[in-house]
Amino acid sequence: MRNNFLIAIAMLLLFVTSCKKDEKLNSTDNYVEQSSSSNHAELIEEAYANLTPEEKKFFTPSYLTNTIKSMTSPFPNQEQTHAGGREELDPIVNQVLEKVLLLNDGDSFASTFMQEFGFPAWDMAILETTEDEDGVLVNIVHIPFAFPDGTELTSYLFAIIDANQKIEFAHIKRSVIDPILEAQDIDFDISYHVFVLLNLEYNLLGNLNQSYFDWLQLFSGSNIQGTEVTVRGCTLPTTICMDIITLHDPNQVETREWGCFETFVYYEDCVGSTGTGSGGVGSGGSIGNGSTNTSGGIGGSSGNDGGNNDGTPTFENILEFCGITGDEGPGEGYQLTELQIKACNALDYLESIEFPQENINYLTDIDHINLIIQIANYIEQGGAYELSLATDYISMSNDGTTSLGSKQFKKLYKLVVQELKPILSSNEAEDDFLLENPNVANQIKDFLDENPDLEVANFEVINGVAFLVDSDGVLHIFIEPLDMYQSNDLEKLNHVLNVLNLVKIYHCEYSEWYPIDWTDYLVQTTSPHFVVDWISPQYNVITIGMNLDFTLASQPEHYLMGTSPDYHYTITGTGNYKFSWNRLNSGLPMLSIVVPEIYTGAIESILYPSECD
Amino acid sequence: MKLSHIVIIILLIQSCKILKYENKESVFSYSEQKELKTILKFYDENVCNSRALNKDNLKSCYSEYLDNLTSIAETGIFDIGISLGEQDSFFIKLDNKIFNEVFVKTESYLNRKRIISNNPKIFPDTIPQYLFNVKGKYIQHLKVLGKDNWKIEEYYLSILKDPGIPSSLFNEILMGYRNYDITNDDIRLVFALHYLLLNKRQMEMKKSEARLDLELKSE
Repeated sequence: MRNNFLIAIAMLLLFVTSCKKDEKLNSTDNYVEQSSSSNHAELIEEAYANLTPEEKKFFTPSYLTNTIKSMTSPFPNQEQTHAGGREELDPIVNQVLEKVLLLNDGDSFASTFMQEFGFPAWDMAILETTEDEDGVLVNIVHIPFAFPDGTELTSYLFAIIDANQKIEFAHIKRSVIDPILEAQDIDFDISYHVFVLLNLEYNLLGNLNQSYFDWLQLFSGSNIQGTEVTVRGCTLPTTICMDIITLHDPNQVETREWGCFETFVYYEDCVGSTGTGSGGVGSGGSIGNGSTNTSGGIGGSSGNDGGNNDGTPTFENILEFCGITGDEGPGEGYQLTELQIKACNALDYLESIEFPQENINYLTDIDHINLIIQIANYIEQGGAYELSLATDYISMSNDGTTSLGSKQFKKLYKLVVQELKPILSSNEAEDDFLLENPNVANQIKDFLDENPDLEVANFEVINGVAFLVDSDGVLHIFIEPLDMYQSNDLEKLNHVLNVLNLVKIYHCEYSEWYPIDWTDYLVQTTSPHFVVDWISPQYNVITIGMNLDFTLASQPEHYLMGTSPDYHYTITGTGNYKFSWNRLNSGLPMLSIVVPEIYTGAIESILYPSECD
Repeated sequence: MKLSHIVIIILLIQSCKILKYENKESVFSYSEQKELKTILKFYDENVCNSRALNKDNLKSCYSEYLDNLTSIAETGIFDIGISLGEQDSFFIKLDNKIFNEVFVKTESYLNRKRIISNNPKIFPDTIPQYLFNVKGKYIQHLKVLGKDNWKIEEYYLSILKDPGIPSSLFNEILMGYRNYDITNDDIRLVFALHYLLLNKRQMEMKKSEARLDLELKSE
């Protein structure tokens, strides 16, 4: 630490400039105290209801994360998990979100924020629990902001929640931080924010920003209180100080030293390196006179000679370090970093178990060091199961049949291979289908969970659709069910025709008609019958008036319908033709489709061709 | 008052009592109305007799009957309590003219399924059926009734689209009978013809299935 004066000035300058537009956020009113818990929820719902659709994205916890994920390559941020709705957020983060929501309700600022800074990733917030100067626990929440198509964070929101649930904010902008980084100005202690931005950006975007490392190294070099030098690199304890008062009150002249804490920065090139170097960031340390619990430290990375732009070493470097590529090893006396050693060991291990070479090649092609280490660990710890998991994952990633991160794939693999396979008696091709279609796998799991006593008589994947016949002889087809409230008549009709057509496909495979349960395919069956007059040329018929009539109500919870084309008859006098399906084992009508007689052949050919292909 | 006047008054009173619907737009002739009254009587008697319900109170008799019909339908059974023999015998005696103003006879193709030597097999059959005659007077009668009763108007429009009684209409009458005034003869006649048509289909299907069982047993 150079001196407190410099720090105080730096922080003051930083936040005077950064907080101008954030006055609304800096409100000190305590809505928790002012509103009872009973009407708090109502206030939140009312504030949410007042939002525009675009503003709702601002307050959707995983909007930014999911949007970025959908726009990026198969492998970024594979260690992340994504919260869904507000109820899935950490309660403290949600408390911050609700506070911002209420403030926005009074004087909307979300739209301006979205234009200038993009969206917040509430679900990627980093939460710290620490103590204030009085030893009272406080929570600190850091929420990253970015544009969905951006490559870096624009800012982050800092929120501190005291024991009385009072929340205060600061908005830390990259536009303030960056000039300090670029000027390599170490008179301003922005190390805390650099650490936070580094973590947030890595978690959200997968970036390890080189300029952060450069500045930290420079700053630490001038502020080192102690140095631990290892054979592979240096772990440098770096002192970081924050003045909380200036964070939430930029106009307050008095600055108080709230606390400093030490953290550890790992520099790989501290011994005689010629490059600019970079380092991984450790987590934790102590803050003030208490302890901090910082989530999500960053695994090390390096690269001073030929590394990628983002600081990650290329695989070529790793191979050289490992000596795998021949005599180009690092040379006598060169000390490998911990990461390099792990990568080398992982490659050695994978080769020793004859891990498919094409998979190794794929991994080396994409330069994914952490993934190699992770996979090697999986296999080493778990044996054949993990080997199979890893092989499948890499193969499917390689051919593009999965875009899941490794953690998500591992979870899916467990579901398919360990949970579903014993119940479904599925073969390898069917397992692959479920791995390629996680939605279907989850749909089957939900179905089995809802029917714990059900036994599976047959499971089959035909033409890319999963079919299951239960021990009662009922056929279940795993397609997306239709929400009848959200669908128009044409969609309802097409959905019904599709289901019947799939029944036919299964019939063609097994030469037997199976009954189906309509609750598998319809959501919102409280309004179960509808009649649609339909005119469409889509089934190779010029125009066809079709009357679909459907009822489920007379047999609550027993919506089983026989699917054989039980009977049909010509309606005298009208020229219409009626196809009827009855409830299982009864003559009660469930579904009928009435068409003009001249089109019966065309309709029959859709539903029930005379011969199966 | 002269005797002739008294006779005229009595005749007028009597004519009004025959059926309420004759006052509408005279869709049916007097003799046809009498035949319809016969159908309604047949159904009323069966509804109450077959269930040993309270004959003195037609409303409670019908309520219990229809409630029971709904309850057993939820178990997958449809049974109005009139056998095929009884129904066919009744219609044979009925004037053909009025029958044809209400129904048309047609045939349905029924695929009966059985497991033979562990293999599913289909035994197709043809069964006689009734449909409402969309060109008959009864449909016109429904149209007239529908002018004062939107539920009947819906019924009329549904029958026009599917004279074999659409599934939704089956459900509507089965589950929603409380929405109809069953003390009204017109409404009860609608219920009677509705369920007699469905009963014919149901009973013919049962008969066909039973016939198949017998054939398979004798082989």
